[in-house]
Amino acid sequence: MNKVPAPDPDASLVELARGGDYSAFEQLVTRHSQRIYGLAVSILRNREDAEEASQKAFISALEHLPSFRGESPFGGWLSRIAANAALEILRQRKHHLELSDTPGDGGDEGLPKPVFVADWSHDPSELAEQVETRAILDRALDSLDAKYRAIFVLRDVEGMSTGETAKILEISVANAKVRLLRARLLMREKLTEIFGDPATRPIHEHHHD
Amino acid sequence: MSKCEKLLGSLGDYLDGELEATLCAEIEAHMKGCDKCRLVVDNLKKTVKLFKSGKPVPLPAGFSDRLHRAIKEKRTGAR
Repeated sequence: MNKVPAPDPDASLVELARGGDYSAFEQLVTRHSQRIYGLAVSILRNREDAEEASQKAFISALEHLPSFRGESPFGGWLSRIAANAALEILRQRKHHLELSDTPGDGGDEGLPKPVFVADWSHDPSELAEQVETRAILDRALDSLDAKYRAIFVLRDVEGMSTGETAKILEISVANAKVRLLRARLLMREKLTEIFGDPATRPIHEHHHD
Repeated sequence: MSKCEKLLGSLGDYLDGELEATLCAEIEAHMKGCDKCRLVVDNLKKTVKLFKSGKPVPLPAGFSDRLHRAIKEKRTGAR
């Protein structure tokens, strides 16, 4: 069965904008600002930098609009531009953590083994409703190295494919997969320490051979 | 290496539905008898879900004005 892609909700505004209608472009900006800022601030963890990345992203989108042919949704195209803008700022920062492959990225050795394991005492949709959860998610994002944070945000928050993400991060697909797994395991550890019900911790360490 | 450690590396593909059938069955069989692994997989699913269902980040005050202005300036500057 062939999956018919959903029509792009931005298609008509994009057409107008490509035809030179600047106010149509401004509407697209308004529509996507919050999401793009969210992407940038999740990666950069700094408001000023995230604002700068957002501005660069939309300016670049306007510049490249003539070459956008609508083969994929506008929102996704914009997200890729924004991701690149955020990563460029990361790369420019002093003291910053390498985004490219480092030794140890290649294999399964050194995957962060789960330490605190417990059932979460609430469902994610319940937790998402709570005001404190935003602060907890922020802390969890802060606890990750930039390279893990970037891949987690692009893959699991923005929903980009492994291929797209690997391209943006300039790493191989194989490395992107291992890096994402590491990021997810680190995130799991952090969040389970907070949300896990200690009463549900498995008591016995099973040794399966 | 314990079975748990051996399977840990496959969890990414497993969560993304990209793991080949035999390994998939192996993980599922293992989880039936291993609370720790079952919980880790459940935790991982919840972690991703929590971030996906997170509320949009509030925009800083004046963000939209500055953004629209910056784009406009760049646009007229390019003419």
